[in-house]
Amino acid sequence: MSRTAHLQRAQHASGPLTFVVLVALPLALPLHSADFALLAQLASAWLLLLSIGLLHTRVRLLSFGQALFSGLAGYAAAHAMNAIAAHGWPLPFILVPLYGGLFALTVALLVGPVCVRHGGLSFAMTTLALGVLVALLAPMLQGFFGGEGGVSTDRTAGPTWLGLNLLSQRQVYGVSAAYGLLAAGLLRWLDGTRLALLARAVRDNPLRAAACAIAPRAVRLQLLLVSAFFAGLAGALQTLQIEQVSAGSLGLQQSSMALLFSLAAGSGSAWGALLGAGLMVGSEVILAAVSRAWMLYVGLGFLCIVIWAPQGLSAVLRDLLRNLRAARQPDLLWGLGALLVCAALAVVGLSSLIELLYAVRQQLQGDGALRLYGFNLNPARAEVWVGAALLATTGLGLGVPSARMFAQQLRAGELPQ
Amino acid sequence: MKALSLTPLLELHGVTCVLGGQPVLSALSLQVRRGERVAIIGPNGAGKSTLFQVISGLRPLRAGSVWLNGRRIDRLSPPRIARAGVGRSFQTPQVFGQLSVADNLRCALLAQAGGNWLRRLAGTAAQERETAHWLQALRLAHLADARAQQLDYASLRALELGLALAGQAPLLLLDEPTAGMCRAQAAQMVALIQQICTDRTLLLIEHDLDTVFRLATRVIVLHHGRLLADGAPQAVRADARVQAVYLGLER
Amino acid sequence: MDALLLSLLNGLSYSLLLFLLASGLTLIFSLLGVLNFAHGSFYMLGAYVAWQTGQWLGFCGGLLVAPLAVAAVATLFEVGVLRRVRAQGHLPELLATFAFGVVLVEAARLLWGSASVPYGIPPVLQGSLFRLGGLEFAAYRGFVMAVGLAALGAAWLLLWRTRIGLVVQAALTHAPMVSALGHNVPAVQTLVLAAGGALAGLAGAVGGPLLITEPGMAAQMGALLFAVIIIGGLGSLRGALFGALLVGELQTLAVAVNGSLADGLQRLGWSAPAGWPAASGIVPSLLHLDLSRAAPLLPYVLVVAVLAFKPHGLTRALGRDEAL
Repeated sequence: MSRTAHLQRAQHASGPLTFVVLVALPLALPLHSADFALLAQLASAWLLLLSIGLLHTRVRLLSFGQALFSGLAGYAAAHAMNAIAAHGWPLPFILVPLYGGLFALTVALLVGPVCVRHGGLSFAMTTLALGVLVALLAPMLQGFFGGEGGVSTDRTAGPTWLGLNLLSQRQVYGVSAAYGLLAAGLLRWLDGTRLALLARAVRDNPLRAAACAIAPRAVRLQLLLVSAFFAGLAGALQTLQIEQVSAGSLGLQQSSMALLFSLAAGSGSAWGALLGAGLMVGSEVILAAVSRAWMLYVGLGFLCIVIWAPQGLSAVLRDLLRNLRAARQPDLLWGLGALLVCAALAVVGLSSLIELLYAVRQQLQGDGALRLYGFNLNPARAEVWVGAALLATTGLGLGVPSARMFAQQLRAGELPQ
Repeated sequence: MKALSLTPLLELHGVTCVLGGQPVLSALSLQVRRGERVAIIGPNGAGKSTLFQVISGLRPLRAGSVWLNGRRIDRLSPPRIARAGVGRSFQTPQVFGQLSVADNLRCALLAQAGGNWLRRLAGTAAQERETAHWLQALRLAHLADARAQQLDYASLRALELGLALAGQAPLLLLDEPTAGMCRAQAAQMVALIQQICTDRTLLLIEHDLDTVFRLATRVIVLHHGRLLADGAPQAVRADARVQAVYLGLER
Repeated sequence: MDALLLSLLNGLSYSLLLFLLASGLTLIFSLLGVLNFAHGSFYMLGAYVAWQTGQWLGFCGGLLVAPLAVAAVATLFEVGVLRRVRAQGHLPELLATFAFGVVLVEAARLLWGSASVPYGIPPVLQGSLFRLGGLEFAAYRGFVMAVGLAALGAAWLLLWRTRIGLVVQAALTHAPMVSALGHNVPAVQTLVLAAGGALAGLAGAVGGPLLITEPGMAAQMGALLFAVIIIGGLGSLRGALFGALLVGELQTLAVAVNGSLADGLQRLGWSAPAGWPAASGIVPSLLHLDLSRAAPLLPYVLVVAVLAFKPHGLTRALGRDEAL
C-alpha cells in the first residue's frame, strides 16, 4: 500500500482507537467509587442516546418512547437477577445486560410492526403513546412492575465469575464499558452491511426505493430492533448500577429528555452520543446538585442549540475542528475566544439572576445568603441584582455581534465540500 | 421470433382512475403477453404515465383490477408489486443521488435476495459479480464510484434503466427512456435497451416515433384515457383515427 | 340512566376544554407545519397567570388577562425564536417548541414553586346548576362549557366571517400563493400562534380550578392533547372535535365506573378459571384493574389502536402514495 493509503487507514482507525482508549482509561486510574458510579451512568446514557441517534440518522425516525425499551429491559433485568439469586442458577450477572437487550428486542418485535407501518410522524406519535401508556400502567400492576415501589435487586447476589462479584463501582463501570464497546463495534459492523445501504437508499429516494422492491417498513423495523437492543442494554445496565427500577425509568420525562439530548448533540455516531451523554449526565447529576434551576438551564441551553446549532452540536464541533485543523485563518481562534468570553459573561450574568430569583423565593431559608460562583451574596441588596444584570447584558450585547463575526469568518474560511 | 406464452403477463380489466374529479383512465382493458414489446403512445394528458402509476401501485384505482401473472396486484403496496415482478424507469430519472453508481445498482440487485435477510445483510460475492456485470452492460464501469447526482444526463438515464432492469423483473415499465436526448444518444439508448431487454416484457411510453418503430412489436394508442388503437406498428400507423389524433403522423 | 346522562354532561364539559386546546394546536399545526410541544405549557401558563391575576383583579380579571398574556408570550416566542429556526426545517422547529415548553414549565416552577397553587372555583360559581336524578351537575362545569362554546363561536366567526380569517384559512393550505397575493404570511403565522396560545391560555384559566394547577399539568395535558389530535386526525379541526369528544367522554365515563374488566365480564357470564391468581401475571392484573384508576391511560390505548388501523386518524383516509 502506498504511504497515503497507509496514512488514510491510520486516520480511519485513529478515531475508534482513541475511543477505545478513552473508555478503557478510567479503569487504570485510581478514581473514587463515586466517580465510577458517574462513569457507569455515563455509559448507560451513552447507549440510550446512541439507540435514539441511530434510529434518527439512519432511517429518520424519532422515537418519543425509547424509555419503553430501556425501562422494560430494566424490569426484566431486575427480575432475572432476583430469580438467579433465589434459585442459585450458575448464570453470571454480567450476562444480564445481554438478556435485557434481547428482552427489549423482543418487545420491539411485538410493537415494532405497528410503529413502523408508516414513517415519520406516525412513528413518533405511536412511540409516544406506547411509552406513556406503559408508564401509566406500571404503578398499577403488581406482578411484573412491582406496583408503585418498583422492583429492587442486589447485584452482588449472583455467582462470581472471572473474579467479578460486582461489588465495586469500578467493576460495574468495567462491565458497562465492555457492553458499550460491544455496541460500538456492532454499530460499526452494521454500517458496512447492505441493511445500512438500503436505509440510505430509502432516505435518499423513497420513490425509487419502492420501485426497487425495497420495503421501507422492513428496513425501519430491522433498525428499530437494533435500536431497541441498545436501549435494552442501557436499561439493564442501569438496573445493575442502581439496583432498583421503578416507573420513573419508563416515563415520558425520561424518553423526552433522552430524545432532546440526542438531537441536541447529534448522537448518531459514537462521539456524538458521548457528547450527548456527557451533557445529559452532567445536567442531571452535577448541575442538579449545584442549582435548583438546572432544568431551566437545560431548556434555555436547548433553545440556544436549536437556534445556533440546529444540526446538532457534534456536527458544529466537527466542522469547527476541521476548519481549525486546516488553519486557514488564525483569526478564527481569536474570534472563537472572544465569542466564548462573551458567552461566559452572559451565562454567568443570566444564571446569577435566575439563582437570585430562586433565592428570593426561598426566603424561608432565613438570612437569604446565596453562594454563587464562590461569592457569598445577599439577594436583598440591589447591587447584586444590578451587577448580575450588567454581566448578562454585556455578555449578550457583545456576544451577538461577535457571534455574527465568527459565523462570517467560518463561512469565509470554509473548506469546499 | 420468440415463442409467446399463452397466459398474459399483465392484464388490466376495466381500469378506471380518477384524478381531481376528472377520469384519467376510463374502463381500460388490455393484455400483454410475455416477451411482447408494447409501445404506448398518445397525446399529452392521454393517461400514459397514469397507467404506469396504476400498474406500479402508486395511484389507487377507482374501479377495475390489475393482474400480473394471474395474480391480482392492484391492492398491494408499491414495494410488493415491484417484488412481484415489475421494474420501472421514471420520466424524470429517479436514482439514489447521494449513493455511488455501484451502490445504486447494489440496491436494485438486493431485491433479488428476497426474504433471505442474511444474504441481504452480508452481501455475497455473487452479488458483487452481478453489480460488475451490470456496470459493464450499462457502460458505466468507469463511473462506478461517482455519485449518482453528478452524472451526465445520458449516464443518468442509463443508470435509471439499469435500476429498472437489475432486479430481474419480467415486466418493465419504461417511461420515455429517450426523453431529452439528441438523435445519436437516443439511438444509443435504443441499442442498449435492445441489447439487455432480450428476455423481458416491455411496456414503453414514447413520443419519439423512430424509437417506437424500432423497438416495439405492438403499439397501443391512448386518447383521453381510452384505448384508441392496438396492434402492429404498421397497422396503427395507417389507422385513420390515429392519424387524426396525432397530426404529425402524416407522412 | 340519570347517572349516565350526568356523566355524559360532565364528559362534555371536559371535552370542550380539550377541544379549546386541540383546536389551537390543530391550527398551529396546519399553518406552521409543526406540532407545538409547548401547547401544554401554554395551558399551564394560562392557569398560573389567571390565578395570579385573580389575586389582584378577581376571577374575571384572571379570565381576561390570561389569554392575552399567553398570546403575548407566544408572539414573542414566534418572532424571537421560531422565525429564525423555521428556515432549518420542521425538526428544529419542533425542538424549539419542545425546549420552550420546558423553559415555561421551569419558569413557572421558579415563580410559583413546585407545589400546586390553590386555584379554586370562585364562590359565585360553586354549587350545582341542576339536579339529575339525585346527582348534581356542578355549576362550574356549566360555566366551562359556556366559556368553551363562546370562545369557539368567536373563533369560528373570526375565521369564517372576517377578511383576516379568510386569509388565515387560505394560508393554511396555500401559503405561497397567499404570500404572492400580497398578504403578510409571516404575520399571519405569528397571529395563528398567538391565537392558539390565547385559546390555550383561556383553557388554562377555566381548567385550572377544575383540574389541579401545578407545573406537572403541562406535560400531562400536552401528552393528552397529542392523543386527542392523533385519534381525530392531524390537521383537521373536525378531527380535533371528534377526538376531544371521544377522549373526554371515555375518560369521564371510565372514572365513573366502579369495577374492572373482569367484573364486567363476570356480569356477562364469564367466570375466571380456577387457579388464576388476581395479583401476579400481567393479563389477570389487567383484567382486574379498576377502570376508574385506569382512566388516564385509556386515551393512549385508543391512540395505539387507531394508529394501528388508521394511521392518519379516524377522520382521514390514507392516501396510497403516503403509504410509503
